[in-house]
Amino acid sequence: MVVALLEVKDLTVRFGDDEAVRGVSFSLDSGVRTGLIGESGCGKSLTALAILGLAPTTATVTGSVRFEGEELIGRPERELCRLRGNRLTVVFQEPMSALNPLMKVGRQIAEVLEVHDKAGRGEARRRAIDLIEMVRLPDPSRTAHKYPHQLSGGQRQRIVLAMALAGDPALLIADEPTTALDVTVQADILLLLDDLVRDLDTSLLLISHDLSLVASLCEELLVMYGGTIVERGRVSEVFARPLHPYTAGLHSASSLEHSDGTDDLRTIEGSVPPIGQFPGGCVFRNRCEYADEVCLGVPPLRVPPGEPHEVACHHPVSHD
Amino acid sequence: MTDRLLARRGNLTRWMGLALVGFVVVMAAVSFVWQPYGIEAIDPTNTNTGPSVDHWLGTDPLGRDIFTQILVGSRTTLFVGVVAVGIASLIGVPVGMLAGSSGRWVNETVMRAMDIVFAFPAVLLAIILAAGFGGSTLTAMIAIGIATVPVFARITRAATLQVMTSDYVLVARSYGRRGVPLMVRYVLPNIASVIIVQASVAFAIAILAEAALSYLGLGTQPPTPTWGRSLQEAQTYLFINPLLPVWPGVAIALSVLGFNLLGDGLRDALDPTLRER
Repeated sequence: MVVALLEVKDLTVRFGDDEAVRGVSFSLDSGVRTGLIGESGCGKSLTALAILGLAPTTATVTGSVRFEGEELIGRPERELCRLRGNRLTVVFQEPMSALNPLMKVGRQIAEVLEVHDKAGRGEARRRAIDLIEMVRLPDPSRTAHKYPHQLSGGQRQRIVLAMALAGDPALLIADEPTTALDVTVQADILLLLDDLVRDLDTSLLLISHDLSLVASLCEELLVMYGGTIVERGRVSEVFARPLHPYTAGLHSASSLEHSDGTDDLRTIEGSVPPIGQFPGGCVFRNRCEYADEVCLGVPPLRVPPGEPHEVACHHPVSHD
Repeated sequence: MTDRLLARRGNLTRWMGLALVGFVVVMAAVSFVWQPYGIEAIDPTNTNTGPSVDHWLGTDPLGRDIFTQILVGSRTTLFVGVVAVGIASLIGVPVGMLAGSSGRWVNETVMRAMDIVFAFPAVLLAIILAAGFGGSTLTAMIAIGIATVPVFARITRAATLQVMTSDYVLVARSYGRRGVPLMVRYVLPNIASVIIVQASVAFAIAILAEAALSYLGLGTQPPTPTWGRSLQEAQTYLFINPLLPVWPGVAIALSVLGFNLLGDGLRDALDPTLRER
């Protein structure tokens, strides 16, 4: 049996008694680009941090995260460093805060190489400049000597990307990598991300709330709501036939019928409840038009298990 | 507009602070190469005089030149300040960084230990040390330094906690930076501004504490002049020579003001939220 690149089982993150991530399970194969979508506060960023072993110290993380067959949960940071190597890297949303404001950007990229590849200072420097060129920044050797505040948002995000890809990672987790950028810059960065991930044959876990972005970049899709994965499948399949009412709602909320200002703004009724106040049974039932007594008491399982398109719902949307 | 006003106000405070602190430093430096009179030289015919051409700030009841006493006293003030703040930050900063970057148990244990230290005022520590080793400049410096450790530990911990949750620290940890290199390269530079500001404020407090300890006879012993003891000696002659306590008092007040203003100004200059992008 082929070992999945990343296998997450029953991943749960608690703050005190409140569960922010409630039993997330999924697996990623090598070379596959997967999107993880959901609204703000549904636990998607926390899931990413928990996978990376970077959840806040106030959080309790349980469950299992296997990366290249090795369990990561419950390991001390020293071992985590060894197991992750720089084969599991991350790009955060905000390019300003993702760079150390007091370190030249070239040095920051070189740091990545020095920690893991045990590259010498000179070699790390040369490779850092190559990486700056790879992310298509002009005048790499001069750019390497700049501080983050001397670069624009898009340029910074390119540096962040260079850092994430420096060690030739097997899996790149990108947490809303373009949300903080201008629309035009967003497109550039996405294009770059897409090219690089394909060139380097890196798996991608793209976290976003933007359906069109995920649709244009990813092959697989995970839909998250209330700290759990409610639907999983191939992007084309899920978009063509969304089974979970939440996915269907998201889908219709982000598509336009008229573009002359007469279109109704479609929304999903209500908003995401705060952590710890999700309803029992089905987490979505208080906002779902199909909810009944079954949804009240029985948390739905993801079915059919192992099939290419799974959904956790008692009343999946029918497409007949 | 407001930003610029704020910046200018910060500049003014900073320069005033710097000028006052610089003045004290120059006084101490000058005292090494030139003193109008010896610190122990007495002039029995001229006691308790007011300011004059011979004695710029007058003489004390023993006939010693007050200007000389103040001039040489600035050395003690600066020396005690530097060493006390040095002790406090060299212990407090690593302790605070440890607490701020560790899990709950280490954090709680360390900070409660700091609370215990914090419960001892500098004066009490100085009395304990003086009882054991005799009052001296050294015991005063150690007492003030130890009593200030928790202040540095707390402020460093708070700043560290904040920096530890920043994305760049998470990124650095994701590619395997941890332990001392993480602290020294990523956390320390980013919390340095907070520590520098605290150091200048702590310096002001140390000056006051030293003056208080010397006033109580727990600090620097005669004949080495200090502002605190000059003040205490002047107390006895308050009604004979009312100007006597003014000089050391003004010296203490101005240098404390100087370090406080410097701290304020530095905070404005180094605070990243006020800094121009």
